[in-house]
Amino acid sequence: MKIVKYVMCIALALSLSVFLVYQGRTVSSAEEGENHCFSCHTNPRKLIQITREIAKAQEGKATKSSETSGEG
Amino acid sequence: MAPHERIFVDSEFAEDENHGALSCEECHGGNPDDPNWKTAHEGVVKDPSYPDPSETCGACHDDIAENYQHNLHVTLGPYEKVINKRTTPVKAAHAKVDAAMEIHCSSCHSSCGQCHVSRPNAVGGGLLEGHLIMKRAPMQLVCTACHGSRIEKEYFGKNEGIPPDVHKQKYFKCNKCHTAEEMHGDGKEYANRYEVENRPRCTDCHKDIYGMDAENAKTHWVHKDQVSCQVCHSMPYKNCYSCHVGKDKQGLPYYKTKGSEINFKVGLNPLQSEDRPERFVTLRHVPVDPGTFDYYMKDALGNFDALPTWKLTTPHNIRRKTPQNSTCDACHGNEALFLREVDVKPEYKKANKDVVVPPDLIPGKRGG
Repeated sequence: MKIVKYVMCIALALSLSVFLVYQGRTVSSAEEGENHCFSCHTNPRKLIQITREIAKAQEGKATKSSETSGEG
Repeated sequence: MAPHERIFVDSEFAEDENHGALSCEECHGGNPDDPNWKTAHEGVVKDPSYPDPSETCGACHDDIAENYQHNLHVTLGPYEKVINKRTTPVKAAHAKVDAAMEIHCSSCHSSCGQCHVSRPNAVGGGLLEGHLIMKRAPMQLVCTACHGSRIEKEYFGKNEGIPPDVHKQKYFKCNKCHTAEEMHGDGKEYANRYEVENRPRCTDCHKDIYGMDAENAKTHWVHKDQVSCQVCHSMPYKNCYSCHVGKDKQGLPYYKTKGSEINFKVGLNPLQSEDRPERFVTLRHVPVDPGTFDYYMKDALGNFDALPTWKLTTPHNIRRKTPQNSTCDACHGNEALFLREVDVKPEYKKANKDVVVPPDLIPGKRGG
């Protein structure tokens, strides 16, 4: 009887540790599934790189008329 | 602002107890799971509070959002009304002018986001403080970024030789007088900003000017309901002329004004009412011209003379002592202060007939 109780305790401890490990993995994988909006827009280095890319693509394209004059 | 600064989000935003729990795509759309910034931005809405904030800001701030569709900063309703009034009363003219206004005028609006999160698009946009929600819109990045040519230069004393507004010297920001309630609107559709019921009035603070013990009580009583406060207390201000709009060879919209001048003119009150009974007010020339929309249609403003081009104004360069209030005769009998027929350009004479001061109405010298 003592052996059965002992085995049951070990099984319980094992299943608990498996559960905890699995939970931990779930949490960390949720962290890994990052929000790219936030991670990019909070990163100046990335933003500089992207805005340079955009500026290069728009090179030569005027966005405002040079004929505008006077106060609005 | 450097290009990257305009879209930089301060990570502190996530700690904002009221807004930080919202994920980006809840307001802006797009795909936060997509690591490719180009495809991730498909469907992104830059300003989710315009033109309808009810699903975003309005989901919590419903009491403010319910007045949004009549808010003058959003609708620019008065602009549309006055241009409509001047437009030739035929369908084709209204269609052309409406289309031109859509291109040249309608972009100059604001929204919840374009005061509290970013600079207005009309002045180039760019996030304020890394998307942290600003309860009070910063004066120079938001308010005077749009109201720059006239208000900013007057208030900060940037017009050469003219000191700043006395309230600026007391460190007043715009919101000291222009409250959030006024800015957010009250749901009523006003014809112009001077009708707004909760607009600031000088007497909101200067309650005692008519009191027995007030230093200039007699002067204030004598002029009460005869002249607006600005007639005695504002300094010369900017007047603009002849705005023409069109598109250049590349199809980009432009505007051209024929210069501006610093001047001070007292005229007859074009908006005289029980609430605004003064006979004399300060008038400012606005840049509208019979040919403003000539590029789109000749003579589109066939009813140009329906409204004056010298409009009621409340300049933001108030001083206790001004040239015109230094003595009685600095104003009385000083014809140059008043808008006379000779001051009005020939093409604008008919439009301004009701605001020009006839010689017999210019107050005579008092000998003091």
